Amino acid sequence: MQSSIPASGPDTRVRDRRLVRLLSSSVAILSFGVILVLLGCAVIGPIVYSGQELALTSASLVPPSGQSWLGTDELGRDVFVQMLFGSRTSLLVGVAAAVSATLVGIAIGAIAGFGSNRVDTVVMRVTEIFQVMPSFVLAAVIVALWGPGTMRIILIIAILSWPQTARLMRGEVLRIKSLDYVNAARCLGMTETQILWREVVPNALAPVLTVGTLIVGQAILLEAGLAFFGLTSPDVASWGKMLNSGQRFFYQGWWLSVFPGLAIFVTVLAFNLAGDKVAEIFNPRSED
Amino acid sequence: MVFPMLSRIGCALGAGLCLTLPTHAQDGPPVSGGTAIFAVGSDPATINRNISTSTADGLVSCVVYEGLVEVRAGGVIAPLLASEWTVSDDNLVYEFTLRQANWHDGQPFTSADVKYTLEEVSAKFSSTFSITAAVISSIEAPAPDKIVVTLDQPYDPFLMSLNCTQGGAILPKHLFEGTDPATNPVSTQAPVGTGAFRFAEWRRGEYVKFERNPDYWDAGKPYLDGVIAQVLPQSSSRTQALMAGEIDYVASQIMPSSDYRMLADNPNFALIPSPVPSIDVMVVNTTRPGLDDAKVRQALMMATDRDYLLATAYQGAGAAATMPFTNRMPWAADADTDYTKLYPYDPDRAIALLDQAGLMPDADGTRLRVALGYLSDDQDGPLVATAIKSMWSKVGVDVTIAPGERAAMVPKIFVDNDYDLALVSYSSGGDPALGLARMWVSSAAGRCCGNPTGYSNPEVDQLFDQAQQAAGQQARGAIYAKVQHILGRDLPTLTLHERILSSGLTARLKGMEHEYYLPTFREAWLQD
Repeated sequence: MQSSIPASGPDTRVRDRRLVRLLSSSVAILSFGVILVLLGCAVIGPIVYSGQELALTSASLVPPSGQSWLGTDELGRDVFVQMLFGSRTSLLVGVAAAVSATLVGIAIGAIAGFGSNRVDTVVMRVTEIFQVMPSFVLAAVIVALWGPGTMRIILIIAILSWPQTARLMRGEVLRIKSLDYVNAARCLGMTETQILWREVVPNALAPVLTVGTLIVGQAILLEAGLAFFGLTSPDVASWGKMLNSGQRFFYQGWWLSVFPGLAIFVTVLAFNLAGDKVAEIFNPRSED
Repeated sequence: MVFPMLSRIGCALGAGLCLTLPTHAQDGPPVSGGTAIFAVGSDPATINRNISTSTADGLVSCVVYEGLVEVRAGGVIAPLLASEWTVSDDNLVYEFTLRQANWHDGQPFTSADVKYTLEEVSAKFSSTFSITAAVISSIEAPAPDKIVVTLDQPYDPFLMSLNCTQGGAILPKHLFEGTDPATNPVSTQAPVGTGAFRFAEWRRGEYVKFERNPDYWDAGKPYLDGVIAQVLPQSSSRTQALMAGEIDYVASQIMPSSDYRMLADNPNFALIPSPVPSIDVMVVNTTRPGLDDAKVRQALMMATDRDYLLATAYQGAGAAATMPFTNRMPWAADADTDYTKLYPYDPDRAIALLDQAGLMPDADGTRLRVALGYLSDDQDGPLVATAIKSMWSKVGVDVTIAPGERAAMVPKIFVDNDYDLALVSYSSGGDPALGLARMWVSSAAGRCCGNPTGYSNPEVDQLFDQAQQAAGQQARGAIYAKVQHILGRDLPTLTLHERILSSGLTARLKGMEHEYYLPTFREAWLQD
């Protein structure tokens, strides 16, 4: 019944137009293409090369060749295989942290935006406390105190990333809750909770989700940074860890640092560009 | 003076890095003049080796101070402040004749300085010399140029312990007597020694400058006008400074091993292998289930490809270990204990041994789960641990890599014995009694950095005691061979790698070949 309320959200023609604009942007196609390829690598790679993560070949520090596409590392492990296993860590951490941060951010932002002034003030001050924390330093301290582990890294990054989503969500909710269709819903007898979750939140999601894409990039970078400083689990392959061990052999094996470095760069760039593009297209002010 | 053929040792031990150093014949006679700059990893806290074993303090101390003897590369003991000595037939009484030398402040050096230093400073403050002090019964100074030391029992490493590296540097009594050596400004601000160089300037956090001692007892030396210790905390910046010609020498203790190859490949630089044997060891907690069985430890040894570790994780520097002690003390070796024959890399035989020990594979094919620790500042640690994890996965041993900070890890391993397996390294100190026995004797359990294995064998304890008291290398060697036979069979520790650290230097810095653990620059000179 509520779905028949005409003012509920942008109509489908606007959505189609946005999709068309998205698909006509070469930057968007390229960045989404890169993300898809990376996802494919992260999912299929470790299956194809199952059990070879640790395999030692007899030759260490062999430059890229037909036999080992990206060369071998100081222990004679294939850099390409290591990169595939590393992509799984990077994407898992990036996506899982971004999803958790976005969910937390949406919930807190919605409550702040829709609640009373007092609730808003309290929640936003708490949010600001989290926002001004130096994230990398805090992450390093937490890992140093409680030890590494992929789940813990995801959790830390999520805890450090939700404030930006929450602030954006609150702004959107504040804007939408004064719109006419919200008043119309109230006149139809919906409770405030129903209005918040059924009418306001869904329409505030678009910009929040684009920020989520940006968080993926930030999370991947943060994980790589922690791994680079040896703060992640030594048992888990990761691009940042490869970069860390590769720097010792920079003069003898440039491929040890260049390829993981490139992978981090391209991945973060792809997620950032994709996020920017989506934000640009879904921003109401960019219409026409 | 004989120059030991140390420069070839890298090749002799089958190391991947073969080094050839220019010989003196090609270099011509030493040239006087110039200032050599060497790296220190941090600002020294004190310039007094007898009260500090820190590397930075040591690197600057032995430039200023001298022991009664010097240890030259290859372990050769040569006269320094003592010009000669006699040893009684029972190996208990050592009588030294001292040189005519002056302190840097002009006061004469006498036997009173020696007696004071060894009794009041070295014995009380030096963690290395105190081992020797425990067997000294008396030190007499019958004449200003005579010193007589009487021991309780024969102690073969006695002479070796009288050098600066071991905490036996002689200090000026007239400046130290009645003070606390740790806070005396002579230790902490302006050292006064007898060495080839005297203290000139100390700019905290930047450099310590030493100038030529014109009054040096060895007339004509040193050749250099001065030496400067430059503080360079980052290991990569030390190599860069060397490559850029900003410094001339990086001591083996602080020279990053991953840069050896780069220096070896460049004719403008040279590497000198450190003469102090040091071994990389995997210590085993023999109280843990599974690891308490010698068969399992033997299986783990056979599942470990030490040659592969040498070529990859250790970048070809050093040699694969072939016995419990270091390979570089052939006089203490046991003919039957050769790891290449006893425990060749053979996963099939390793599996057979694990079967015999009753460790059968579970549903995942895993026979044993262990954690392998290392100190996070050990730059080879992650590589060695990762390679071993891979090798052992083939025989059904699942390894969790568990690095830790030094401050937390050392008590965990050595005091609480709360670990399964850990990678550590031991420096022999030049003699099994000085540095190696602690790894296996029961009396060294429960403290850093002794015996963390839980292994306690009365026979081993007794043999180490006997070897320490026996006189002469041959007699001692025979006893050490027996010890190695037992240790090679029981394997409370898996000796994996013979570490040969190298100092890196510019090719124009000559005369450093004889230097022992800590440099003195006594015979160094700069070629134009």
